[in-house]
Amino acid sequence: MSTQPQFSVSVYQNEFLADGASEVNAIVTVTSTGAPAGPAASGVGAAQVIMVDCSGSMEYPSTKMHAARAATKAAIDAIRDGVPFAVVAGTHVARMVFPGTEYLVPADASSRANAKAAVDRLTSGGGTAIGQWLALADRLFTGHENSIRHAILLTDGKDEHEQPSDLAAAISRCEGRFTCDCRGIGTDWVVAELRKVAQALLGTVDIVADPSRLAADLQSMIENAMGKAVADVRLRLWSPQGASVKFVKQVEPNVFDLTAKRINTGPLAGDYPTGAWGAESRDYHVCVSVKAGSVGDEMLAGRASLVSVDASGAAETLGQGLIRAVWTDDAALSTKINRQVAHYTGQAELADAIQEGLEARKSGDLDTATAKLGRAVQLAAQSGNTDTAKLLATVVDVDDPATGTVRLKARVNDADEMALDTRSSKTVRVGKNNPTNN
Amino acid sequence: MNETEPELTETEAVAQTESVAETGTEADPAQGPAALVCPACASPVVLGDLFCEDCGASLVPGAETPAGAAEPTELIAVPPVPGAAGTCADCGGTSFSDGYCDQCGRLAPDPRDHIEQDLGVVAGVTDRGLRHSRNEDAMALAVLDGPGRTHPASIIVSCDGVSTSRDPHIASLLAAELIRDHLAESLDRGEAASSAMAAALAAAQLAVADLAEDPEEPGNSSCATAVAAVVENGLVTVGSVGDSRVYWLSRTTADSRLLTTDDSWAGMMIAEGIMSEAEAYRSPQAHTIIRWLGADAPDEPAHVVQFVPDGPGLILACSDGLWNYVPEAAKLAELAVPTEGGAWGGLQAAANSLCAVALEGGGHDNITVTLAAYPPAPAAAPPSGGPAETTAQLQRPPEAPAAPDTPPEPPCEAQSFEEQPNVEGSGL
Repeated sequence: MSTQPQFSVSVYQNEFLADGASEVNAIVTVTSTGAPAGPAASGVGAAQVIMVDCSGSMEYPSTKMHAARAATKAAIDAIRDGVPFAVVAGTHVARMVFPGTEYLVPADASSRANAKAAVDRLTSGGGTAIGQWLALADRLFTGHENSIRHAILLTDGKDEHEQPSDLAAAISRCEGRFTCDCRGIGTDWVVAELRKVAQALLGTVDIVADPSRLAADLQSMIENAMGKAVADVRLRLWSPQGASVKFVKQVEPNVFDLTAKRINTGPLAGDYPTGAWGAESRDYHVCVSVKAGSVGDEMLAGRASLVSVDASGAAETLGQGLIRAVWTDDAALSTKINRQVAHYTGQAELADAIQEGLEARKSGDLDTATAKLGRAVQLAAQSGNTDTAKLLATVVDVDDPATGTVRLKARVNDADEMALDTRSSKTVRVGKNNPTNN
Repeated sequence: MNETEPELTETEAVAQTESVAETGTEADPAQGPAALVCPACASPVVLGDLFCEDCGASLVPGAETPAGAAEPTELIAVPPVPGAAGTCADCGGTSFSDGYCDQCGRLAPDPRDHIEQDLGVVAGVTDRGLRHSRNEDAMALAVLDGPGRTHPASIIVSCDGVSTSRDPHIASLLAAELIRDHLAESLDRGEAASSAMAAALAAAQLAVADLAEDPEEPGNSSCATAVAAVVENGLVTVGSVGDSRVYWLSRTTADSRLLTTDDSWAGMMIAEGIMSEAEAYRSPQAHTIIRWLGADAPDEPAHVVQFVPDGPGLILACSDGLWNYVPEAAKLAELAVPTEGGAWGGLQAAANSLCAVALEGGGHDNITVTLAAYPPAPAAAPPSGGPAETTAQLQRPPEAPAAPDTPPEPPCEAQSFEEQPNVEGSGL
């Protein structure tokens, strides 16, 4: 294996706790730099599967199927030379489009041309059983465990030709096997369903309301995947005897609760999967409850390490940061709230408020919807999350962003609502003009 | 190289270097023929250091003697007694990573949590206290005595790192050891204590100001207070910056007195006659210091005063971790100075008992207590009971050019305690 990107880990926290306090909060910022340009350069292999929805609904309107074909072809062109890939057609079953049998073919001029020709022949017809598609992708990645495995799932409809439990079982079998970015075309798909897939498989979910934008979107997803240089990176958290981890959340670039994904690696340590890394930066909010100390005590409340794990299970530490706790009777120290912690606590609340608000709106609980979406408008304004603020303005009329006074719009475009829902977890960093530490 | 240091064995010597008194140049171990290096990281270390300033490794006995120090011409033995290391006080664990216990996460025991140092006619203790997570105080002691030396002198230094500044524990240790070494070298050259004191504090100011500021928090640089005393026969020279204190503790306890002025808001109010001591110390900003060693320190020379004791007693240089509990000189004297016919355990025991008073009072701050017997020569016998053996000496090599019997010059740059009858500004 040749050069790896450099990982740096910074911890932002107020380590000072009042006498008797036991909850320690910290934002762990992980930045990888100097990544060689993608898997080929870094010596790590990549593998790519594209799943295209070919159910009957893709023809209504026919622009969807047309856009899906064009986008898949653009994605194929973006796959780097030598990267094994396959295209899968998804209906109530999963079927190989290219190659004809269940294996991955290295990308070159001829395989790309054959794949694109096969995509041109795609027609629609049948139902939707996403669990089947995922199961086929999982089989295709078998034997590529040392590579960075990435899938794209494109759908326009609800998963209605299998039981929810079938989908859940398929998702759980694929967890840790590959990452999957999901895109919904049109407005007939279900945000919650695709979010489950994306969250379990450490990918993104978004709406492509306008089919003409699909090609560019898929292309950038592939390019992003090709830019990854380290597969299977985990956040390893050591916490002291007697402590409990309250939560571990990715909070930047989007909110993503990793708490339940913990895999214990020892009596005091556990791993949280973070997928593959290129040159990028992500923030994690770690909350640990420790045995309260007395004034003057200092304790290591957590050691957050980035480890890369290869197929044999061998771990290599890429970087680490220390989360400390110092008990003091100086209230000026212990009552200070770290800006980063406060900011991301707000961003996580913003995501929750939007999702709960939209849920309440759907179920007809307009008071709750107004309160939650009002709070979301307020949080978005306070934190400078202008993208989310704009999306919120498509669902509510904002009277006063400072107090969160809003009125629900009588008529809301489905695509706008779904865009707000899918992008609700998108966060922003603490204002760069004022990057103070504590 | 020579036949000196009869009382010292090789293993007691922690740091050894060529005499700088011979050349008169700045102490720079890196340039000496027998450069001293840290056994852990090979960075240069300075005569008498307890810890490596680069890697923090302990330089106490047990550490390997640097190979280059085979032919010492001067020795200062530093036998501190650090707190029990290697076992977690909380869970008994014995493995540590990143300075914390691998099991329970508690801070690994730090040798600086509690250090005792007994050099016979001077002794000291520095302790973390009960409410701070580390000891940001530091002390440094030296005894200048030995064959051919007609004017014995002892040096005590106490420094208190300013806890809101960057790496205050590094600043305090740097300052304490630098002041001690600077004083020892100047006195060894025959310089007067008053000018040596002013120069030592000025050098400490430059060195602490030179420590890097916090890259994450520009403007936050290291700061420390410092008090030092040079105790010679017939003259005590005291230097201070900040709110650490030097006291004269007389055998006649009522004659005991504070020798320094606090560079604090309260000290200023009292000195200017604006408030009474009681009023001033009730104020919330009472302990805000107005002078310190470090970057952005007010550009004024340090206070240097001289004092002529009228009988035997002790000189105490301490941090506010002690005097916050017992500010009165007479009370401190009662606790530390032997009484006629009473049992006295020696200087180290006296220092420890003062430290214990602060701990029993709550130990809210780091505590540093350094004591020097007056008169300073072991021959003149400290108050009573007599300390144990003299464990360290700074000795002049026979070939040293500076005449060993040059008497101290009369102090010339000292401020005087004009209002105090037994303090003199000049003349011996």
